[in-house]
Amino acid sequence: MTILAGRPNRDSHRLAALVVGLVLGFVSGCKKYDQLVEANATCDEKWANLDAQLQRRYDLIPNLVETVKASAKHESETLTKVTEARSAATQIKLTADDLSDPEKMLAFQKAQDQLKGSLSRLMVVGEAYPDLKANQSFHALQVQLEGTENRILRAREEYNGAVKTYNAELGKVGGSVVNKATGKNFKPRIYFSASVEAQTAPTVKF
Amino acid sequence: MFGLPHPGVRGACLLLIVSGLFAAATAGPYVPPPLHGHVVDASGRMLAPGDVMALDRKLGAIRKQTGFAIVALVVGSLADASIEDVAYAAFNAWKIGDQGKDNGVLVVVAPVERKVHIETGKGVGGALTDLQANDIIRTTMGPLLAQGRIADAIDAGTAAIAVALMQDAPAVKPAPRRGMSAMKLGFLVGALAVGALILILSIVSPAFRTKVGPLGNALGLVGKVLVGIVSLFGGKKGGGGGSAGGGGKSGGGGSSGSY
Repeated sequence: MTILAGRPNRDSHRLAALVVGLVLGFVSGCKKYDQLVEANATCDEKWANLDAQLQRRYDLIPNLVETVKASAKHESETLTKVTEARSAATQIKLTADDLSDPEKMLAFQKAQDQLKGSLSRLMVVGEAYPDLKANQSFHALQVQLEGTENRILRAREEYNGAVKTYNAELGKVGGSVVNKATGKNFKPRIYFSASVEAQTAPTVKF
Repeated sequence: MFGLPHPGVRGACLLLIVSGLFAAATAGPYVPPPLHGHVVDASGRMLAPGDVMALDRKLGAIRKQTGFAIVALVVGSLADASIEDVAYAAFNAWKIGDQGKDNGVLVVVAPVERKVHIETGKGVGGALTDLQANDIIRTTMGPLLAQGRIADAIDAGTAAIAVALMQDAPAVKPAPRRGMSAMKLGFLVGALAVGALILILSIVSPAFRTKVGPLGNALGLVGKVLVGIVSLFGGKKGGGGGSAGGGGKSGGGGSSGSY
């Protein structure tokens, strides 16, 4: 009796340890998965905010172009460049998957940088026209554009911060194991970083 | 005389060099001083202490009446940072305004660089637009700042900001509620009811007394402690409303200007 009872007892201990181990592993895996989901959702939220600010910039441009056109007829080239850069940037539509695609992100960033650069040139040009400088609606557009650029800058910083957290979470051993186990739903995201030229574009004094 | 400087002078020079190196090494994001009240003179010499107190009282009253938190910061020098960066860093370090509402506004004056900036919380967007902020800088604050009247500029500027905020939100949030919220009241009533039931049972039923006497005592004690905690929270809420920082965030809204 005692000899018979010995084996199953040890086996049941092993089984119990295995079950506990599996449960613990499963629980911590779930927790890791939840962390990834959360970090990903934060990125989505920050991206939506950044996208809204970029949209605000698009919306300001037609009015700005019209206002400048009325006073500065000789600047058609600068104006055309802004309009072209705007339509080039708006044509790039990024899906959720594209945020992890280096090439698509690079193309998007380039388009945004070009738009920012052409807008900066337009504002510098505008400064040279006294009646434009005195124009109330030009001033209003200038202030709004300046505010929008600052918001874009902050939204970009916040998005990149969220991406950093998410990518780090995904790169850690636990994160990559969970990602592989769940079918690689999570992909590392690409930073939205402005080029050096865009950051040192002609500064506009208001 | 110049060949052999006094040891004290030499020490001061060394200190200057070392502190200069330290400043260069720590040139990262701007770190604002701790926030006390609604007005911070980081330069330490641009505002008279009396002005700071008067402005703080005024902005504290606005905070209590309207819920909007308006804070003013005078920096000693921007030290190569942009005024936008300094304002953004200070706003989010101090968490001006309420969490979720983000109803804070920060006015930054940089007298050395002759720059001024109004940073608006994420929740202020429509109430104080970038354009309105720019108008306040140009028409209200600029002329006073140009005369070197920093305290007057902050006084007039924050007043104009408060007017703009209240015009957009005529249904102003009432002053912080005094007393307890319904939930806390319900909790208190519930705790009292349980306590009363135990008391009545232990008086009426000897069986209850013998069975759960010690437990009843313990429950009664827990109830008392709970009631104490609840009343403590209720009392705290009633007297609050003096702080400008409460979890607000800025997304880079606002406007800048030079004078």
